[in-house]
This record gives sequence, C-alpha cells and structure tokens, in this order.
Amino acid sequence: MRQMQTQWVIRLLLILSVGLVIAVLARTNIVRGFGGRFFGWFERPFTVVGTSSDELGEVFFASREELITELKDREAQVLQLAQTAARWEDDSRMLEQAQRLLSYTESSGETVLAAKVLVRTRSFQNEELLIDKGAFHGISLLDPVITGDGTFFGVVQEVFPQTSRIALVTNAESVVGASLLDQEGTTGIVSGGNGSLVRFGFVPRDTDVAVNDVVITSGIDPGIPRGLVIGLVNSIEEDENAPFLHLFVEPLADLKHVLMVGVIKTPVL
Amino acid sequence: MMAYFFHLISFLLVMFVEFGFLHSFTNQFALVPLAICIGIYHVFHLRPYLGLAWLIGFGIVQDLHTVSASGDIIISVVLGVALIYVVEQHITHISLYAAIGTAGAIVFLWTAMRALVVTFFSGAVPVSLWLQESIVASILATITMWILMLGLPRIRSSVAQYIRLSS
Repeated sequence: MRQMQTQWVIRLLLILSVGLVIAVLARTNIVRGFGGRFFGWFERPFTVVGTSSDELGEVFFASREELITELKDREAQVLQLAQTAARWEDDSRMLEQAQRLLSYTESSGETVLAAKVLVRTRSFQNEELLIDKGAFHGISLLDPVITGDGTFFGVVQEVFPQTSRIALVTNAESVVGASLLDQEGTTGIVSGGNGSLVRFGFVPRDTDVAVNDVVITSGIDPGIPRGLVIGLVNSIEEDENAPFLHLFVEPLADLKHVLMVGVIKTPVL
Repeated sequence: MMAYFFHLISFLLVMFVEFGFLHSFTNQFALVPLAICIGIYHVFHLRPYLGLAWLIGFGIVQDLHTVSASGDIIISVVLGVALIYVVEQHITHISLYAAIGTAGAIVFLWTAMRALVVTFFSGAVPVSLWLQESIVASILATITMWILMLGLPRIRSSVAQYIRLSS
C-alpha cells in the first residue's frame, strides 16, 4: 500500500514537472507565434463553416415569435441608425457652414451674428425662416442676412424676443438696392416673387450688362453694406418702348439647404 | 508508430473542429468539450497515458488560444492525474454512468479552476457567469461522453470489419 502511494506521488511529481516545463515553453514567443499561425491557418475553414452554420441555425431553430421579435428589433436598430446618420449629416453641414461663416467674418471684418435655422416655412412663393436669435441678441428689423460664404440671403422681416423671421431674397416682400459688380452707385432694385429667380428692375437701358454678370448689394439700404453678392444675371428682358431693362438674377446663396446664417450688424454711428 | 501518428492526426483534427467549428457558434454549442471527453474516454478504456496526453494537448492548445495566462496546461495535468487515480483506484471503468458523471465533474472543475486562475491574474470573474458556464459545459460534457461511449466502439468495430473485409 505504502509502495503504491509512493509510486503515485512519483508519477504525480513527474507529470507535474513535465506539465510545468510545457506551460513555460507554451508562453514563449516562438511557440505562441508558431502555434497561433499554425492553428489559425488550419482552423479558418472550420470557422467559416461554423459561422455559417450558426447563422443558419439561428433562423432554423428559432420560433416564429422569436423571428418576428428579431425582425422588429432589427427594424428599430435600422431606424435608430438612420436617425443618428441624419443627425450626423445635419451637424456636419452646420459645422461646415459655421466654419465658412467664421472665415467670412474674419476676412471681411464685419460684425456677424451667427444663428441657427429653427423652422423653415413656405407659403406659395414666400419662403421664410425662423432663426434662434432675436431682439435680446441684438437683432433689428431689416438687418441683412448672409450665408456662410458671405452671399446675400435675405433680410430680417420680424423680430421677436428670442427669435427672428427671415424673408429670403426670393420672397415677394424682399426689396433691395443692387448694382453690377463693376459699376458705381445703385443700378436698380432687386425684388423677389419670381420663383427661384429674382427680378433686377429699373436698370437704365444704357447699362453695359451681359448674362452671368455678378449682381451685388449697392449699399443704399440702411444697414445693408455694399458688396454682398446676390447672384448672376440669368436673362435680360429688353422692351424698346420702356426706359429700363429688366434682368432676372439667379441667387448664388444655397437657399434650400442652409442650416446656419449670419446676421450682419452695422455699427451704430 | 502508425497508432501514434493516427492519434496525432485525430487530435489535431479534433482541435481544429473544436476551436474552429464549435467555438464559432454564438450559442451554448461553443462550450462542447470534445477533446476533454475524448481524453476521459481513453482513460476509461484503460489507456491512461493516451488520455492524459489528450488532456495536456488540449491544455496546450487552449493556452495558445488565450492572450493572458489561463493556466490550462497545469489544470489539465492536475485534473488528468486526478482522473487516472480515481479511475484506477476508486471507480469502475466499465460503467457508462461513471464515465458520464466523471466527464461532467471534470469539465465543471476545469471551468471553475480556469475562472479561479483568470480571477487571480486578470480580475474577478462574476460567480454567476462562471457557474452558468460550468454547469452548461458539464451538461454538454455528459451528453458528449454518452455519445462517445455508445458511438465510438461501434464506429471502431465497423471500421475494423471493413478493413478485414477489404483485405
């Protein structure tokens, strides 16, 4: 009995010491590197088969209720992902517009108040925005509004304590003095109410104008500085009996996708 | 020599199946302890050192598959020796229920000891987690052992008969 116990102790010690040596060897970089590559290479086809079987098994063994629940969960996940993606897209666009606005402010030296677009409404030909800055932030009636790259966008039509209503340049109620880029003074009046184009009226017949000429604000309106780009001349209507030319201008501001605008504050003299 | 070669090839094949095929399952099938059960099967068929070699081999491969120290080689040595001792000295090796029960107990102990080692080296493993895993693995071990004890001898005799007939 005692001899058997001794034999067992010797066997145990022998096997344990062999195990310890193997355990130490198995932790060396050479063995781990070679073993990992060897088993990884040979296991790959089995893993592919296992993964496919697992996916098939999930559908095969699941009950109808489980599959319906799974489908609803996936739909909810897709919806959530779509919402997150849309929010990311909006935030990314807003950031880009804010950066451009900041860049314009730094280069022009004007005081520009950045504002987020809260609501966009449209009734017939009038498109209006509600921005998150109002009288408390220093917004005044008829302040000019620009987009990120300094393009004329519209004017403030109504001021509330915390918000303001903006009429786009294409609105029927928008009227602003304008000029051609290479001309002094005021050439005519730009007014909305013509769909996606604005009308540049009261331009003297002898004005040297061509299609694609740049139209800018003339600075005649109080608070609206000269030099804000309105758009490009799209077409010229000439009536031989009329003393003026009528031009149609395509606004350069991105009127549809704007999320951030700048309100120019003219210093009080 | 051929027998050793056959065992080496079958061991590697079982390892590829266990670590490649079974471990890619996301459900409880990933816990099927195929190699441990084959090792126990050999011990119960009075091939203790072959069984121990399977268990230690499994420990080595398991250790190679873990990033941090899991102690599987030492666990395999301790449990392998304990298994041989118990089978040789205390329980009958011709009982199906003894084999099934032993497989369940060994796998339960193996999982529990691994949780203990991981807790010691890496951080606490929640008791509920390792207990659940141990219980599921030991249940799967009993089923696997039952299939092996009933199926393998039949497969062996069929193969032997086929070889005799063809020669």
